[in-house]
Amino acid sequence: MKPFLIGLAIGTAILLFFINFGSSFRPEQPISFNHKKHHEQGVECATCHSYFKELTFSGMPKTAVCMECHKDSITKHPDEEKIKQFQKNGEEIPWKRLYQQPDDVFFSHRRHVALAGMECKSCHGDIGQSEKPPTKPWVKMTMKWCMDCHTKTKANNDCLACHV
Amino acid sequence: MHKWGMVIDLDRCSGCQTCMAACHAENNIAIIGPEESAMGRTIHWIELLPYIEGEYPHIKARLLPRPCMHCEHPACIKVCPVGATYVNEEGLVGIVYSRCIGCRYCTTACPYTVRSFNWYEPRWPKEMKGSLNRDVSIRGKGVVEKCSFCHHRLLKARERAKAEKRELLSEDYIPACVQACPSNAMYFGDLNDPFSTVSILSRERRAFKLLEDLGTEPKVIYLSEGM
Ligand code: HEC
Ligand code: HEC
Ligand code: HEC
Ligand code: HEC
Ligand code: HEC
Repeated sequence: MKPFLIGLAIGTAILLFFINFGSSFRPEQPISFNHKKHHEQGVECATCHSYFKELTFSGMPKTAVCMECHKDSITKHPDEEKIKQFQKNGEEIPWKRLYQQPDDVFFSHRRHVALAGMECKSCHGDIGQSEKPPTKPWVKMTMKWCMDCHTKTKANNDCLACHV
Repeated sequence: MHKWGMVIDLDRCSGCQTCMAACHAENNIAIIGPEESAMGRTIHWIELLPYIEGEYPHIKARLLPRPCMHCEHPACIKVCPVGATYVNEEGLVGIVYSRCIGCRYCTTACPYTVRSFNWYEPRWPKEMKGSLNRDVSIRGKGVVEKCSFCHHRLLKARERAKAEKRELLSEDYIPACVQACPSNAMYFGDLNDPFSTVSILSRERRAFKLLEDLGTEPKVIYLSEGM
């Protein structure tokens, strides 16, 4: 009986360890990007997320965009060197995405931002003030979340409006 | 409110299959191998159905392009146990792929056999990956699909109209097959507007619908040949 109990205890401990490890896993961005500092420098959202006025998506910045300002060292932050490494290897910085809809959902930034005049804040929170890359989305963009706002704003809630 | 419909003039149709090619490219329709194809598992959203007209020896071989009929009273939606397919206010019969459980009741119920089941995970030759249409989702193994009247084009058209600060016109929205047809055999538009081309043509003497007596009320109207 005793070896069995010891085995059970060890098994439970290992299981708990893995559960804990799993839940504390966060998307770690390759570079500790600081939205707030860039915002304070007056860099506009569209400099890095260039497409929301014209297209459905916003886009993540290419390394070349960062290099426009960071070609010479302008900060003491160690991560600035990493940008140059990516540039030297001819690689794009592999930004992780927090907000990503499934393939069969149609969402258009242009429609919401450029045409309906909504602010980035109303869906992404005040990300312009974040000093470290956020580790989780400001809001879980579930179907209910989309539809609740569409009900409030009398926008289209037909399944085919969002599902392609 | 628009009611979208299509007219296909069989007198003008030359059976060239451009509509099929355009549809495949537009809608990311998966390509399958010859063995799978021999099992009848090829997917086409629009297909040319061969049929024989007349009595022997005075027969003619004909081809009939067959997209989804977008019926007003579709047989397919009544049998769906999960509500993954429905007809919307504008008369489009849609499928929400993420809700589909792949039971295939609808493929059996459709009298026009327009629905296809995805037997395989979709695959494309490497060279084609870049040319997939971003506006249309990739359907996975285990869901049913069919012609959508390119409804993603309607979404884009509504957005364009909004950007130009005007109402949507029916000319703004045209499915890929109709656009591609080189012999102008296909028309698309608003059946609720009595003066639209499709409405006018649908009142012609040559106009008929497939299996009309079933009461499905298709919104694809054919114009017969040689009268
Ligand atoms: C100098 C370039 C730059 C500017 C300017 C900028 N961003 Fe970003 N943005 C980034 C980078 C890099 C990331 C990825 C790292 C992170 O999450 O911090 C990102 C991430 C985001 C994300 C999360 C995307 C996702 O799917 O995870 C949102 C939302 C966002 N930015 C919104 C904004 C808004 C709103 C503004 C203007 C107030 C703005 N950004 C200005 C570079 C920029
Ligand atoms: C109505 C809600 C809404 C508003 C307003 C909004 N977004 Fe988004 N954003 C989303 C959704 C939903 C996604 C995920 C889209 C997807 O996966 O297709 C997203 C994704 C993003 C991403 C990830 C990368 C990408 O290519 O889309 C960035 C960056 C972003 N948004 C920036 C912005 C900026 C900048 C603004 C303001 C100009 C803004 N968003 C306004 C809902 C919104
Ligand atoms: C329009 C010019 C401009 C662009 C484009 C730009 N930056 Fe910066 N960045 C700055 C300036 C200016 C500072 C210094 C701000 C300060 O120290 O207050 C800075 C600071 C930084 C820092 C140090 C932040 C800290 O916490 O001290 C990092 C890291 C950084 N940028 C990364 C990036 C990345 C990654 C990109 C591309 C996505 C990018 N930057 C694009 C102008 C820019
Ligand atoms: C905070 C409010 C809000 C949220 C959240 C929101 N939307 Fe919208 N959406 C709107 C408004 C307002 C309109 C109407 C814009 C117009 O009339 O130009 C709209 C329009 C649309 C349209 C165009 C409908 C048509 O008639 O063609 C689509 C598609 C859409 N939203 C998808 C989404 C999806 C998908 C999400 C969730 C990921 C979402 N929206 C979240 C407010 C919102
Ligand atoms: C305003 C936009 C919008 C409308 C309208 C909409 N959906 Fe969705 N739907 C979404 C989004 C966004 C997701 C993905 C949510 C996520 O990833 O959590 C989704 C996911 C789903 C899913 C898969 C995930 C789940 O929650 O089970 C199903 C099934 C679904 N939708 C069915 C429908 C049906 C049926 C209708 C019509 C009654 C509909 N949707 C209308 C935006 C919409």
